[in-house]
Amino acid sequence: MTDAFTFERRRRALHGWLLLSPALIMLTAFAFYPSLATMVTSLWSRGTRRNPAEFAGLENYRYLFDDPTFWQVAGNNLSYALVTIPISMALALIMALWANSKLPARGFIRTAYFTPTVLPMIAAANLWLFFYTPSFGILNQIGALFGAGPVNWLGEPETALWAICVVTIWKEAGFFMIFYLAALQTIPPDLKEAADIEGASRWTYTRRIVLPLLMPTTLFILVNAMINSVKLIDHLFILTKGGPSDSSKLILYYIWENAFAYFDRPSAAAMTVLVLALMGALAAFQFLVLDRRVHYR
Amino acid sequence: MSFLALESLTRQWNGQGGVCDISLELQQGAFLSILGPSGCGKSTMLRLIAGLEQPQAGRIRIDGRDVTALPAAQRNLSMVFQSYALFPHLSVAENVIFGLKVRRIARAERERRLSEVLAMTGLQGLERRKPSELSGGQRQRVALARAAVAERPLCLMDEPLSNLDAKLRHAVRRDIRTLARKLALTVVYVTHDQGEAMSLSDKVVLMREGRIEQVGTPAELYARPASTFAAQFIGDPPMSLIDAAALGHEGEWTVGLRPEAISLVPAGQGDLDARIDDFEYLGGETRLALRHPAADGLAAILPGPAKFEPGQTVGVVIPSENRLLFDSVTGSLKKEPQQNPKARIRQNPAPEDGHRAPTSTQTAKEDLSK
Repeated sequence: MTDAFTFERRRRALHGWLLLSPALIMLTAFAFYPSLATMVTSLWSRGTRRNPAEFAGLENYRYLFDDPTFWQVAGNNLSYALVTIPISMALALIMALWANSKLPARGFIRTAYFTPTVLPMIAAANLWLFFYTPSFGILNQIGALFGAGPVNWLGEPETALWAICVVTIWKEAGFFMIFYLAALQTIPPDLKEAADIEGASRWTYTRRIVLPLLMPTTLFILVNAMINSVKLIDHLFILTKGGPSDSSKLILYYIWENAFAYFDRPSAAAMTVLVLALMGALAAFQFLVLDRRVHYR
Repeated sequence: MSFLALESLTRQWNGQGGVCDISLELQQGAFLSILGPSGCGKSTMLRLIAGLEQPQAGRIRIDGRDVTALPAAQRNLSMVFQSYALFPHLSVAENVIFGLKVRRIARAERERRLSEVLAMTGLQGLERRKPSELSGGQRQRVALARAAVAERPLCLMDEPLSNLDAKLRHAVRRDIRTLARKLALTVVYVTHDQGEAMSLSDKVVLMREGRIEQVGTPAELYARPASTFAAQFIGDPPMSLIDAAALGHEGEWTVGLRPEAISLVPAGQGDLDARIDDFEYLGGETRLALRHPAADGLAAILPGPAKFEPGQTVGVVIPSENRLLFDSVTGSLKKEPQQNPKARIRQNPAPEDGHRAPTSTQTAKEDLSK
């Protein structure tokens, strides 16, 4: 009796592990192990053939905190996030509200908004390179019509980061709009009718009914936008390569530079760990604190 | 002076559906049901009155004021939706006073009205719950409370009971009637359930394919249906229709009569000989489904238990004073029965529960109306 029971229990356990294994293997190979290896690497010194790597403790982090470029890149990334996230989310919401209303060419408008997201990042960046080209780029030509002098948008330390921000907003807003649009379409139309009969204005309805019902989507988009803000790298390769004088360099680009241009893997690993920790903390804040205030249906 | 008046109202989509040339008047404080099968335009009519749809032709007057061009908010009415349309992120109390807040009514007044309607609808203690934490019946009450708290003289209800189970439906039906009387509301109530329409209303509008088939009190609709459609839509089981030739009438007529007017005698001694298809013993009465080649939905309701066998042939007596004559071509009522048509008709014809198990003759009708 006991044998049969044990056998059955083992069979079930095996069954469970089998179901679990695809996700477990993939996550271990591409997420858990790399994170752990990065953490370990960040604690060891940079090894060469003559001086093998030795345990350095927090030495790499101290070195990083003394690096002015790191602080500049972190500051750049912060400005970049603070500008692109709110603006692209607000634009996405406005576009979604508009694309959700009864318009003649609704399908066309929705597609048009979504196009930037469909374009490959490199192609999109090349497109914007033409816009930003000094003197004969579209932006400068339009500016010239109104008598403005030529501006080297990507070549000036004052404008390079903002030029990158504009490209990101252009790309992200359409993507986020799709989420907002999907959420708007789950709001039953009779809520609008009930609010109409009560005499609620369009603005009151949007503020008191639509926005609260969109909160889960907003939270989801916020998490995505934050992750994206430390993930941007491909535009930089095409547009500025982080220059001029690091003014448009973002954290992932700097990590890439450290790892593959300067071959300073421990520094890159230390930065990666810091980014991971920051993202983890933000995600925890969002899901533990903001989540309580969000109504899920 | 009527309180609500519709004048040749038309709203169609590409020339079909919707309502066409509807005219109607309603006194203040009356309970009006709009009854009809699905797709007959009854919801469109309600939405036109509410201002959620714009008519292509015709006018709407509420309390003497032409509201045809006014938006819903300015028509001074409240509405209960079929889906209840409760705001899912707001609590019961916030849902109820949403409109009062929008109209900037003072807090003290808001609180007073809130506690009043919560008491009236039996929702005390649930103020802080979200709609998702309520049962179907409670949600329905919140929707009613939201309509009642507005204190508007006209209340529109769009199939408010259709999402409730049969037992709750009965209870809420009574609540609606009580609420309407207490607040002296004029109610326009859309339903496809004749039981609800008959038991709630002072006046019933029966609709068919966007037009009004008949308007009248529930008793009028039951006793003198204006057409074979009305005859077969109202009553459970509905009126039996018999080809008049089989009963010896001259001309193109169809004879209609209520099942309770029929009595049975041994075969060969009645007006027709019919076969018993099925019978149901219901305690107070026995219902029989009968078959005759010239009759459609022939049924009989006999008082008390009856001793018959399915398949047995019986004689059917059809008293001439209960016969209603319909034109076989147009279906409209033509001739008065010779004597008082109510002579043998039951006092309260409306079935108490619209969703009682249907008899065999009713199944076909309900299928058609769905």
